[in-house]
Amino acid sequence: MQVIIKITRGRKDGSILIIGMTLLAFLLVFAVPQLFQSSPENKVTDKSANYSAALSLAEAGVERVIWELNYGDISNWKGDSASRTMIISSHQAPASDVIGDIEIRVEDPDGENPQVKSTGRVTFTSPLAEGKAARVYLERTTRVELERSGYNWVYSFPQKQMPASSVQGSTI
Amino acid sequence: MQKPTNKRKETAIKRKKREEGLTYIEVLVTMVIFGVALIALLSCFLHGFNVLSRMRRTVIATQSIQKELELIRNMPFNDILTLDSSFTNESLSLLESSSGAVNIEDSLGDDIKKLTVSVLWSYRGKQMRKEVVTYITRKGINRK
Repeated sequence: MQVIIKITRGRKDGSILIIGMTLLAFLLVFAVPQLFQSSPENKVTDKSANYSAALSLAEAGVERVIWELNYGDISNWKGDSASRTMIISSHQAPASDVIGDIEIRVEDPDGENPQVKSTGRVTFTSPLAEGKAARVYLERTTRVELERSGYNWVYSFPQKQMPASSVQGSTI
Repeated sequence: MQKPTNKRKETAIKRKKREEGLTYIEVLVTMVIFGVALIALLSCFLHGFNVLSRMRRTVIATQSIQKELELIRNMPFNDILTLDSSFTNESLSLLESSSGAVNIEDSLGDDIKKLTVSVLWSYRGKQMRKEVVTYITRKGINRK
């Protein structure tokens, strides 16, 4: 009787070890790669690529204002002589996905030094833990002052290039 | 006379106990458990390296696009119109089977163009793509 008890106790101890180790192995195989996938470094890389796309969109807004002042008609834009705004939604690459939106605001469009604030907004999917993902947006804003050169408007100088720390972004 | 016999017996039992080792099955089970744990750990490391490698390529592609975009922004407007539809630079050569493309599309008028700079590369048989879109105008940024 004593021998049987000993054997049973021995078997129980072993099974706990085996179950524990197997669970740990499964956890390592399936959970840790997910953690890597949603690692901060991975997110930072994706964000850095999208920052650059957002800045290009913001610059596109400035270019658009310069073109409107030189060759187009900015009076068609929403607003009055104090400020005019325009939103270019779903700016798209040829035969590809939507890159993002541009929000342009021009202060004093009829004056000698119109001030342009252009914001490029990029929306992308960011991986989260547990295999989930969230739609995230980030924006970059460029502020410039334009000056008249003869009959044409030229890009004068970046009045304020918003630093990376003030870049806005949020989970949608 | 009995005492020495008992002592000898006890010593023999103790020696036998000391000589008891692990059975083949115990060793085998231990090896399997450690093997599985080791493979699991190794797969984690491999996955980590894989993610790092993919990130490195994304950064290189973004840098290549940025470099080309800055180059184009500093060109006279008429030169942009005659640009090649493909580009290459030293960053791009670091990516496997990569290609850089420049697409200039007509937009609102003759003096404004929609510019798309994109980089394609393959990673583990998968086609990857990064692109940036902007406007370029005749009297625009960096052009007086």
